[in-house]
Amino acid sequence: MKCRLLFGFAAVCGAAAVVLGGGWGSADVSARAAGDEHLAELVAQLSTGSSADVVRELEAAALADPGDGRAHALLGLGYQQLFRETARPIYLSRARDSLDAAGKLDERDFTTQIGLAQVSSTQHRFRAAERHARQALRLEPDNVAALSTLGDALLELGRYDEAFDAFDHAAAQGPSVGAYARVARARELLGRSDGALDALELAIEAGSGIPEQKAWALMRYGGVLLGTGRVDDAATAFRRSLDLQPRFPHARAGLARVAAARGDMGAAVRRFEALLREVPSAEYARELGDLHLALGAEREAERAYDRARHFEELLARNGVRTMLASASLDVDRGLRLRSALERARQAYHEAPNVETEDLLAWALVRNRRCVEARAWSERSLELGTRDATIFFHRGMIERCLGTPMAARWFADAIAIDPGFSARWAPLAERLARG
Amino acid sequence: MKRAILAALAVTVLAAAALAAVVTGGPALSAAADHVDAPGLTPPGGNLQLDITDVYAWRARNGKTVLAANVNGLTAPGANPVFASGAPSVAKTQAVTYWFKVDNNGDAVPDVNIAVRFGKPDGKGVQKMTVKRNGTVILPGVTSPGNGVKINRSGQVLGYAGLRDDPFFFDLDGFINILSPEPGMSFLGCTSPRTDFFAGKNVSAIVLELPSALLTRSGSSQIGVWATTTTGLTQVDRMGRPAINTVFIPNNPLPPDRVSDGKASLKNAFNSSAPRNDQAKFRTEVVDTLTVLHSLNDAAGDDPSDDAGKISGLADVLLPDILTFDTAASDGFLNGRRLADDVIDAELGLITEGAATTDCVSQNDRAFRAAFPYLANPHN
Repeated sequence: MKCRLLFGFAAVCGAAAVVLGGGWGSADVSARAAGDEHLAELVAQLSTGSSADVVRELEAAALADPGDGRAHALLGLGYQQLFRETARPIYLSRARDSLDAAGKLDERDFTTQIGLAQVSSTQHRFRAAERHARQALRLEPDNVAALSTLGDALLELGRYDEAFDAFDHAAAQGPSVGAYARVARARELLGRSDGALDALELAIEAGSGIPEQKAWALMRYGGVLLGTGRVDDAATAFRRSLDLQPRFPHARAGLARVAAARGDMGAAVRRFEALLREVPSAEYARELGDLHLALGAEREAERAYDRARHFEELLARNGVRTMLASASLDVDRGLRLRSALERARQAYHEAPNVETEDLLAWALVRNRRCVEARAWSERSLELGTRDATIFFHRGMIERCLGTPMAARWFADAIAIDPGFSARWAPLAERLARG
Repeated sequence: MKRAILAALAVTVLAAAALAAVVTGGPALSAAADHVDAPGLTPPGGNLQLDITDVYAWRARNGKTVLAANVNGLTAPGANPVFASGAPSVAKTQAVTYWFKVDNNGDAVPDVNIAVRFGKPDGKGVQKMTVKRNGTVILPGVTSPGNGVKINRSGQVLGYAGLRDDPFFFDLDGFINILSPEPGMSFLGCTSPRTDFFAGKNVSAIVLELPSALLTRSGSSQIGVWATTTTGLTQVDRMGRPAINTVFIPNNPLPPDRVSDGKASLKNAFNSSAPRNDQAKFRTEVVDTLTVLHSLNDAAGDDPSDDAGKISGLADVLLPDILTFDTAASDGFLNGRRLADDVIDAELGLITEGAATTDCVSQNDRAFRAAFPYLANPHN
């Protein structure tokens, strides 16, 4: 008899439902079904923000049967969820270890491959992420999660046409918040911020029945609005996001940035400090440092930057490639510039994209290698990206070269987003005036 | 996607949602904040706005025909989903259209195309809606967010779009556990109180009431109805009778060890295809599924020698997946489908050769309205 997926009749065949794409043996359907209950519980926990109990059970299951690849894969996904909830880097290592163990037991398990793709992406190992996502797609062609993860990796690797194809394919296969948000990111990179907002409005619609999804889309919407200088609209979007999910860190960070953009640096500092009491985020610590610096509080700034570096080191110890972040921080601060340039090059080779091209340009100009810097800046702008920070860096390069174009780049940076950086926007504004 | 929650076992779907959330990111914090860390997809990797949960067609007391199609399945009370107004690709945003397709000469090709489109929601969640029949506007209107009921009228045509109680009723848990030996798990025998899995859940409904003559051809009251959703020219979902794709079309032809075999989903293929090709494309799958289902009673002494003939006959009825409806008759399912029709009971006996005849849930959790738009108020 042909074994097939019938709702409710899976047990007829002995080998039950595909659930996550495979790996089910006929001998232990009930044990595996228990694993899927855990996943269902994980879903339920997504809203409540704690999957710890479920993960403890998954740990016990993996310990009880070290040869059960599926148990390791589920545990890996559980750890990934805990990382999302807590941002504690140790969970990344654990996710990686569990998924690696699962991969050794069965490399043809879809769940394992997609988990490995995602954890690789989070660790900024984008070539590995691409490899695992492609393996997942070989197992399940057209799978939206695999297509999305593949597109994310390709985007980071600067293979934009392929990435956009993957996003379009994902959006067509599974029109959804996640797919539309990726389309929005692509449009942003192409310099079409209104198009990005349009895609995010559709994402907000698509997530309208599920508060967590809508909150996420609203946060992204606020981010694009803020990045294009529409501060009040951004504030509204972040607040709407927080109405749906009051502790959502990204939306709270959005409000902190709104405060900074409005010139209320004190409020921005307070908001980031509150966030950092809950979330070990290098990104927030660095922004806090910039705010302190803008306020002239150099010692506090130093402490915040140290904290950012500490968080980055924790991430690095847990497998994350942090060249980009560490180089960027040092270049911005004018520290260890030669080493930072070397790290920027490494970051570029790991992920040759708009962001690392711009970083390389910025590192070069800070090392007074302005001609090379301009070439990299030109590359970073080839897609048509309209990002105030990139424009500001270009202005600094033109200034270094002594061209009359510098003021125009500064003015454009300010026109795109007058509050693009607490640290650099005031300088850009001054230089724009000549 | 047909009752997506049924589509691949509830557990499967929940797990898939979990995977999607875990895999593609979540609303919680990620340290990799420089990436597009999108929230997961809901089952099965798609937008519930475009996932048709049920299609209905019946004769109203005033003699007109009512067509209804629901999306945004399993909406929790308090959530206020909207209809999709567009779907973006990197290059451009395409229009989303909700369609009622009507075949009135029996060739499984639509003769009347009723297209419903929505605008972007305003601050209160209200969307403009436009209903076209074969390209001509027959009803402009607006949606009804929340509990509101805004009936749009134009001549003899009434239209409503908004949040309603999900009219579908079914003991899904009992079905999933149908073979469980544990007391109270299965609904077989109705030996324990059963629960409507869809009780307390809402959907977004599109309901039209219109003169049957707008749907039929001269000299015949017979039509076939199905609904589709499209983004641009791409068909995302379709549905005629309840649970056809859900039950009869496997996700892919799965090998016994359940390892993914690299084949694309047949369910997706079904959703994107047209009824006129159903027999050619999907008859084998339907026959295979019916063969499994008709074997359920073999152990109880059923003589399987006549199964093949019954199965072939059923496959002729089930495909193409079109809700056949005599607009002159008030009967319910299999003549069209009324809100209160117990379609699960009607289908169970047929497809299992009597092995299961009822899920023991025979009515919706809320009473239907006597008047347009007929579906019950949403749960708050």
